[in-house]
Amino acid sequence: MMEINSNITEKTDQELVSMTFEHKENYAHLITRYEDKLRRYILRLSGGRVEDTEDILQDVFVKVYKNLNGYDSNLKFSSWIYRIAHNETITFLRKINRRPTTYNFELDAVKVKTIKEDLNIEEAIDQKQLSGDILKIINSLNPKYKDVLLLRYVEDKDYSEISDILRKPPGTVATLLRKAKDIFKQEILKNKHLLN
Amino acid sequence: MPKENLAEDTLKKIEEDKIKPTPRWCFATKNYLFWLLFAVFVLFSSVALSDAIFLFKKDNWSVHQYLGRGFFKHFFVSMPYFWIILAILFLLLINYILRKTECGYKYDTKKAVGLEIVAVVVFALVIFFVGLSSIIHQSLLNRTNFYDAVIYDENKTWDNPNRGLISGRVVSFDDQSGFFMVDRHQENWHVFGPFRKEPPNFLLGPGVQVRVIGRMVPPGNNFMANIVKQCCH
Repeated sequence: MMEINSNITEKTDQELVSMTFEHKENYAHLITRYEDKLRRYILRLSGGRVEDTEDILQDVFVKVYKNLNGYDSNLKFSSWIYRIAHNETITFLRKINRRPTTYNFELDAVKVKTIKEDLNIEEAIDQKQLSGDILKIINSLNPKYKDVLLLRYVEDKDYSEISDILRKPPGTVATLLRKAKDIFKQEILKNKHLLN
Repeated sequence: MPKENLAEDTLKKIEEDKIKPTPRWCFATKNYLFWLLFAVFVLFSSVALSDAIFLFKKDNWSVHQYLGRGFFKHFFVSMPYFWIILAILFLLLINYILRKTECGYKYDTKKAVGLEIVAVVVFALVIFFVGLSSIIHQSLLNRTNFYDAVIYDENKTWDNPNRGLISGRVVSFDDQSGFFMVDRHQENWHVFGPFRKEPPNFLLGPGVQVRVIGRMVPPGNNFMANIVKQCCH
């Protein structure tokens, strides 16, 4: 039986996984909890068409269901589901032999502020313009830098979560992020006249 | 447009395609298999390294002067490249397999490679000291054709009577006239002295494998020895 919705929001991911094993209908709660986040993530990662994103998203949830027994509870469930979404998106892009394209969206002010503070470019760039063009610049970067920047600044993941999602050692993630930030900052400053 | 009811659609697909969660044992088995492969390749790399150590130690570095080449040339010619390359290849595989295990990606690359090297060296030394590397080397020499071609065969060094190096098995020994030995081409040699034994206390008698440094004394297979070394095989 489906649980009463009011209780569902209080349940942890782990509890929802256990409930799914009891009744597969309960899997709907996990899907509802993650569908918006993953939809945005897939769209940002692939820059693809909305229809493609929906297909990838459904494949992700089917794959998650198939592999539920393989979920290691030492990981955050969100890291695990993001990992599957990341891999499915990359596989999809390879299958259709297409490089990710730019999907424009505006970041919320808090995220833009974090990026500006972290990159020490507060004075240089106007917040509103940066918000509009940020993904254009991220998308132009090498995929390995793009992945870490998206996860860190757009998806708000910490180093350990990024390490679990991309299956890279935390030290490697830190190095990639440092390099990515340097390159991103250079690109921002190089395109400053275009932004302003 | 986003699907309006993704959850319902996905559950419907799961139902229609009769999709079930893969059993837990499948994931556990896959992970154990990777760790098993990891252990196997640590062992392979250790064996390769132990045989490299064995060949390296077996080589007689002082004979280069008899072969008319300098120490460094002799060093580079007689390096056990076959085993060294194998040990490195297996080491790379070990690292690849580690990354495929469930939590293998968490290990820092430098630390992981460092620990893998330490493990391989420790096991290689154990294999070497218990004498397995010698057995592996000998059985590969006896049972395969390729092995002799891909390693620097130190026995060939001792197959140089013109340069004053011979080796073989002692057939008979006589205090007065030296000893008779047969080399690997079944040639008989009369070896006589005065010569020094290395090590000084080894017993020179029928069946003992020896390496001899000296010079040929024609006619016939006569060899005046300066040094007679005890040999492992």
